[in-house]
Amino acid sequence: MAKVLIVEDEVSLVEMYKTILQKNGFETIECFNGREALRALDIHAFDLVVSDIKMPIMDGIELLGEIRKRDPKHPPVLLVSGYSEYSQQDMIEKGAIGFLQKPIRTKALIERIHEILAAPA
Amino acid sequence: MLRKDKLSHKLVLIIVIVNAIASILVTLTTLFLDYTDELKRVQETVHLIEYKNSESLALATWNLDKEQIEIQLKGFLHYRYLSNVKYVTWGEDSVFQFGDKVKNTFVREYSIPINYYQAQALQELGKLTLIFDIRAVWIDLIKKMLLVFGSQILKTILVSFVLYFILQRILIGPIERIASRVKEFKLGKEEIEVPDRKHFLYKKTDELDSLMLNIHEMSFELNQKHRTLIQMNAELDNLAHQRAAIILKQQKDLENERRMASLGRVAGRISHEINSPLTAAMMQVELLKEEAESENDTNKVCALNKLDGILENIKNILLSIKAFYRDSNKEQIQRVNLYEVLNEFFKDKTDDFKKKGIDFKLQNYITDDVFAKINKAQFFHVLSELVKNAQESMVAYGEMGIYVSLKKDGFSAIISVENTGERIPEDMRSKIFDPYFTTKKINSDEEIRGGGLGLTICKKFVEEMNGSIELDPTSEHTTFKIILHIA
Repeated sequence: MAKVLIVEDEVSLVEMYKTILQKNGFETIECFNGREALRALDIHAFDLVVSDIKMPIMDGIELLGEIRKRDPKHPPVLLVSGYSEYSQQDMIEKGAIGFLQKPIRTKALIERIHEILAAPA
Repeated sequence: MLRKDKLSHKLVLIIVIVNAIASILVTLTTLFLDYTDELKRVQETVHLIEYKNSESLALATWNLDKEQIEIQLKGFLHYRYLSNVKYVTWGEDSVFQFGDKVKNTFVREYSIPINYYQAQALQELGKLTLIFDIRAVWIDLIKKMLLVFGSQILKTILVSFVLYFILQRILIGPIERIASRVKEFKLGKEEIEVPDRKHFLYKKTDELDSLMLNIHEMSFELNQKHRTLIQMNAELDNLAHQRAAIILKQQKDLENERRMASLGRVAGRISHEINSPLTAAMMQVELLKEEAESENDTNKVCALNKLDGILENIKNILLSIKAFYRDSNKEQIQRVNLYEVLNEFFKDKTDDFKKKGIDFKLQNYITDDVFAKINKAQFFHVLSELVKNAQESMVAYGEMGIYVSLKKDGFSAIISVENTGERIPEDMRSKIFDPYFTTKKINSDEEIRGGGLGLTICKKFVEEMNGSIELDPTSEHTTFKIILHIA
């Protein structure tokens, strides 16, 4: 069972991610900012990190930087943002596996996660 | 009689004065020369008497022939200006005197000794005194001079009048006429014409004619330059106005851009804040829909579909707001068959129109396929906005109709969207595309149905497709025309 770290400051969305991902057969751990996520990464091994970009304390891009410092490839980070200023290309250059623009449909999110996990590391 | 302000008069006056001075000088010089001539003549007379008559007078004296002496002495009085002759014999034995007495101041006296030569010896016999009347010399000379001076003056006056006549006729007259024409000349009116000149002495073209011709040409050129100047001035004025308008527009644009930029930041933040709960809501609805579908609860599914539609609408609104404040994604531009795209858009709408009792027609006036480069999503958004506005404006009217047509005009395709709703008032027509302008009534009793960005976004979208959108001023209803380049 693939383990996904959800990093999102919007409580309602964290709940939804959790429900949907679990319903689709993923194991999840939820954090509300980057610092919490780093702590979680210290303890657990994840197959994927799905992180929001704009968050208090430590944002998604800083978190991505820290993760890539530890390991340049693992775990893959899928960034999600309500801001359309960021582009897929920019985020990939920063070390993310992909970028999704909110609002996201369930189908799109699940398909993207499967796609990432199916890809050879 | 002579007026100083006329050139001819001045000239004549100068000529008369110069001539008079010259005449006086000539007369005085002649007077002086004649006087010395006359004096010489007197001297010559004295010498003549001395050499010609002194001998015979000596002989008569020697012979004591008084008669002979008297004859000779009287004979001397025939000489010119010799008015008195006095002869005194040696020892003053006899004194002879003939002629008129004249005052001493006007006389010139000459004494000649009368000698007799005998046996080689000179013997003085007497003294002859000749008295000349110089006053007579002067009187003669003055008479002569008056004649000379008079004739000179007469000549001067005659020449002056002839000169005056000639000058007046062939020089001053034409110059005066030229001057009066030049004085009458006004910029921008007719040119100075060359006057007909009747030449006094000759009929050839002279300097005055060429002067007149030059003035004519100059006035012609002056008028041309004047006209050019007026034209240039007008152009300059126009240019200045245009520049002022451009600067004003640039200032407005800049102000607008600043406002848009700050609104863009606000829109971005709002969009971000809403997007997260919106995602959650959408996912929740999808989850509930799945559950309802598995339970076969059609009512629930239907309600959730409606809810999903509303959330989709919110998503679209957010996308529109973001798109309005930011440049569109150029990659989404694609070449499409316009009639097909229109059909695709209105296919789903026709049932809805029927339900609402709206008469709908989509007409294609172009026989061949017409393609244009558009952003389909934005194009649909524009059509949705126009249809939505049409429906809202027709609510209060009995006659409900939406008529869409596709036409071709040169290299442009025109999509007209006409509705039979309330006609937009004249004073609002120029403002309908302005941001935050709305014709919809906002009051406490009525729901606020528009934020005033709908048509502004439409205009922005169409312009991003290199097209334009306008309100057809000739339409008796409300007709929007979307003009796109055929590609």
